[in-house]
Amino acid sequence: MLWEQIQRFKEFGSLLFCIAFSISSLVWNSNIFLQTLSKTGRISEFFSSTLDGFGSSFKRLVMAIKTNESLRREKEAYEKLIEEYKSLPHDLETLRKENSSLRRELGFSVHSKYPTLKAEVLSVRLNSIYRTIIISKGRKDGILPYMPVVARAFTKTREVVPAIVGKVISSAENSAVVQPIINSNFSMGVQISGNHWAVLSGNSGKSNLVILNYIDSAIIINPRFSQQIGPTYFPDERESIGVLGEMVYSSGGDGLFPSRLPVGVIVEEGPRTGTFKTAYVEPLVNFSELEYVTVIKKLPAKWSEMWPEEKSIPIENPYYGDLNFPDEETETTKPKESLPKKDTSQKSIPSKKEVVRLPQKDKEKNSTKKSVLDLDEEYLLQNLEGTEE
Amino acid sequence: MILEKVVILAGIFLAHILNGTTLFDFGTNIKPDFVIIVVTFFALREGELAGLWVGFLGGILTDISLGGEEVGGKVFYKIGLHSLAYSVSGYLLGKFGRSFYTENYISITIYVFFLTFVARILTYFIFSIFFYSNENYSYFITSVYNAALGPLVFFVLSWVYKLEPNQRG
Repeated sequence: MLWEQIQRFKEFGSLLFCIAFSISSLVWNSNIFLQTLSKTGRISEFFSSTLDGFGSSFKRLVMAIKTNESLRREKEAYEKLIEEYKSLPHDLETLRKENSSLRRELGFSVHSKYPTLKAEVLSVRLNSIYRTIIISKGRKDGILPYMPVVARAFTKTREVVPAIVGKVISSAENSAVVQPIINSNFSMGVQISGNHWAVLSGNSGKSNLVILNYIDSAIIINPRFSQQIGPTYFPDERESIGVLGEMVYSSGGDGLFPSRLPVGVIVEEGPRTGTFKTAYVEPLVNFSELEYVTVIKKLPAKWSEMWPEEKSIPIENPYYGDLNFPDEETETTKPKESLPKKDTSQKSIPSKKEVVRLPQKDKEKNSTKKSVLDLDEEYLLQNLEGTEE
Repeated sequence: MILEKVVILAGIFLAHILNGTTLFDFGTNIKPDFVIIVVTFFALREGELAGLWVGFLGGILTDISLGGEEVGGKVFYKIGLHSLAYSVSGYLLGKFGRSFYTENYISITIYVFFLTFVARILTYFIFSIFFYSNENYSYFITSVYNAALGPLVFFVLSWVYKLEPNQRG
């Protein structure tokens, strides 16, 4: 009897359970049950990375067989070329450059100031709504949240650089989750074109690109499409050259990433947001081919600057008056006798009501003596009168 | 009966593992979602209840792989996001889409495309409600790639599970 009852509501019960479990997990998203459940994720990541390893080995083998013959021919040709180059006098310089670049590649010191740790990439989930990278090192190896993660990448000039991958967002005993720069929730301060600053965000709307927000409108991104808006402005020679194709570096200002770490290259001008410009950046790191990353063991720096006490401005009367609704208009403009005396010796900003009620003759009287404070006040008065009308 | 369920679970797990690899990447950023193809298969072949539970378990695995995010010493998870979207999609497909389904390559392609698209839109909305608006999530490209792979995966799954198109759960 009971079993029949259960069978009857099986479908509805199942649906209710699935929906209730999912919603409650989303609402209370930090409980112990979910923590335990999430630990099992490491098993699947292990299988994924193993399968990936087999797959990529097979791919490499096929590629190697395909290109073997052509490589042999190329090798012979290069050998002949090398013989020719040996006789040339300028060859020495070329070799010196090549030597130094190879030395740099072999050394690959990410950031001498902080210790680093290499980790294997277990999985890169780029297709997911919340893009993450799982790495093989965790809390046991000293990996903690907010640590910067970099990887080897090539610049346009084929120089090997430690480019930013992202930051650690959580760490388990033997693995950690990295939030890549293409994650929609990622943001960091960056430096472009010398001393200009911008905010890099992963929520670009383009799957492979990140977006630079709050770029100074004086910077010309793409000279071909650039239009001068507002008053005539004469950009200096450096700014007149577009920043398209230029490298973006970490600013170091947010205290999370060390400064001057390469992030990507500006590839496209984005839509304007108010008075600021935006631009799309192609990350230097190829996330789909990421195999190893380097974690910089650097914790976020504490804010070195505090607002100094002597610079704080005391506001004697911070009350700016009630809001003036249209139906209260008559009430607020009536009582002229309650007008406050204008006292120029006081530096407090008058309330909106006080400014509006100031009589015209008082204004004329005071207009003969114009101090800097008066000019500011007059400007404020004009503006407020304009808004009241 | 139990063995059958274990085999189904193994299939979901394998689909999830394949989602984590780069073996089926097309270009730099086009990846299939094997879990949703498995959900489509079971919803069409075994009905709404199978679609619901396969979607739920596949979704849970996908959510686990998203990992947690540590904010202020506390770890926050996104478990429940895909499980809700996949289970509801699987249930609705099994309930309403099954009666119009006839087994051929074109219909498999259409059904897989449709369910992938719906499940991803649902995931996007749930994510927007509980977290924030994500501009980078791709619906169309993944749906097209899934639709292209759908007949092949259906063929493999039919062979593994020995399920005929006319079998009803």
